[in-house]
Amino acid sequence: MTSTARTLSRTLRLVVAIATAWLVGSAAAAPNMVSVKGGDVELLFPVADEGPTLVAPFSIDVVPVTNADFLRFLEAHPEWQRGNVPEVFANENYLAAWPAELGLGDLDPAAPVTGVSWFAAAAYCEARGGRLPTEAEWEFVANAGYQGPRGRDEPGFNERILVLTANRSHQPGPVGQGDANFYGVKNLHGLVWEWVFDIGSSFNTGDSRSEGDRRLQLVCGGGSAGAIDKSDYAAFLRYAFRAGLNGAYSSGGLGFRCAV
Amino acid sequence: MRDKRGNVHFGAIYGIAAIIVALAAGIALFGNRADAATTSNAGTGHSHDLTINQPNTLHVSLTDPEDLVPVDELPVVKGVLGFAPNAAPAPDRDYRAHVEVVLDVTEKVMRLADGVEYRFWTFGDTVPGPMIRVRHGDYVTFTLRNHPDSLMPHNIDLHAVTGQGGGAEATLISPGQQATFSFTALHPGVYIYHCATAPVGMHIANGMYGLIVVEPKEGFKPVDKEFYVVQGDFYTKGDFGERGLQDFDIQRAIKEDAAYVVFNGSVGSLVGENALFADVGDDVRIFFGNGGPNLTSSFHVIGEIFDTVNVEGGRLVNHDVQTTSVPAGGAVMVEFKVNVPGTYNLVDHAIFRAFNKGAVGQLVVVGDKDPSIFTERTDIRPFDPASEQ
Repeated sequence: MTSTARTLSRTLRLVVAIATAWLVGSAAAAPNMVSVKGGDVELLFPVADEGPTLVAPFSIDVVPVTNADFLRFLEAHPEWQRGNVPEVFANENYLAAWPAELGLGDLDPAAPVTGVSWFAAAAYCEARGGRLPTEAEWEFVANAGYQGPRGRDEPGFNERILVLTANRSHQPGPVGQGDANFYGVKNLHGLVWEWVFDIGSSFNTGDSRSEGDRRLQLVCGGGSAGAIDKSDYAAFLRYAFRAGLNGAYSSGGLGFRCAV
Repeated sequence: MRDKRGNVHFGAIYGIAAIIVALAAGIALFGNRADAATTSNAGTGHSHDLTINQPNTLHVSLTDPEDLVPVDELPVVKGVLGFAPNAAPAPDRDYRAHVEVVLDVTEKVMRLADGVEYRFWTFGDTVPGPMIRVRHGDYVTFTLRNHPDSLMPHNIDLHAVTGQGGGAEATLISPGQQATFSFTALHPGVYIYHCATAPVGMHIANGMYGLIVVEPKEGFKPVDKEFYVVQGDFYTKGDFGERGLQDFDIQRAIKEDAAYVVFNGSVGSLVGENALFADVGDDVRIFFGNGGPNLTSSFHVIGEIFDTVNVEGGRLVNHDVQTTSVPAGGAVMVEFKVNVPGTYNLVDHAIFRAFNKGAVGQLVVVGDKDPSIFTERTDIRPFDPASEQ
């Protein structure tokens, strides 16, 4: 690619990023959110040969949405209660751990809510005036270490995430424990998996002309063929998890947080 | 999707998402139909093949009428699994069948060595996963179920499968999901299966492998004892024997610096009361796989010679073999008659793995001694070079 073409490509990506930011909204950050300036993020599987993905400024929750948060949402939006939600928006595992439609029982109110579908998570964020973070935004924040924006530069970072991820519990403890990362965000690794806005992007190319190609990279020998950093095993786990999802799915290990 | 105040209207997005889902389902169906059409046309495209008008029939053999029975007319049988060290029973039939196999995926803490625990990712709660045994030409409907308590997505790549990823793409499932696909066992042999979800190496390193045996139509020759052994290499933060729940060590795995090399998922799984047993005179068959992820096995039974080795699990048969090389992701079938009583050690003859990393198992042979084949020590006395001259 010539330098002119490179500049043009970068300009185009900037325009796309700004347009995306406009499209998904930019309401003021809530008190429990942090503002992130954005910038380039090296996704594990970059789109074509375009290099780093540009992330526009956004805000994101410091911690995942809790059981107590979601209970309040269900009280205000009965259409998302277990007995009311249509099957296409939530499968039979939706909030399966809840003893009652509007009761947490022994569940920790401060623990992250799990067992929610993509549709329910998206509706929750919309009700709060926000949305789910895009995959690029989530990865941008999650790639940060504790001292700087590139965790991979910090010794033992990848191994630490890997262990947290592999040994995480199905009964997650309360949100907010542990250190905040460089951006002031907590619990990105080791508490629960988290929904992102564009789950499909893990297995579609940007223009959807070669559907499935990226998903195929996550199975069998293709797993590392297109990956930017073959040592980033924690990212492989995240991408593989997203590749197995559809919007109505829910599981005891999968929660979410919101962005604007 | 957006009003004047800048709020996104997600109702519209749900609608679009639902349409996308519906389209994807349509594409999937269409794709399958297209595949089916290609398959049924393939037979007519080559003059040396039988012309097969019925869809879903097998044409690996030009002589077997049983291969021409359409799948929906095949008798349906449940697959019977074998849990290590016991081999799955041979298919008790001389006809093609539609075999239904169900395998569950779990993640659980189990013993790696005395005082050492590890969070294994398993097929069927065991390392190796259960042995699957079908007959050449069988149509196998395979269901993989990922337990709701799992934290990871998983899938399966069966090396006995001809088709995308050995079933990997078709079976990629998140916790609490199950997926089904079907294949025809086109090739007889002994094959590894393993999880193929990214990061593939980590899933294999955590114990997700086993054997699927596709028995030739005429069957293997009958033997007295059949065993199922799979080697694997494990990469823990702590060195060999360091106690406690050990974490997976990615750096060590990349460097291929195994802390443990073991048979059937743990140190001592085939030792002492867990040893394999046979009687003098028995013909013994071992289905031996190497799940990997990294190391090639130099499989050897100390004090025995393999009468026959199905090299790499295929149809090439070698005789009178001391040590057989089994690649990572490969398998072998060895047979030998046990003539002499005693304890025979199964080892990876890359020998530090055996004595320092766990790759030892035992075959205990019970029965009468035969001095015409082997005697114990008959004489011991001092050796003085001076007096011998």
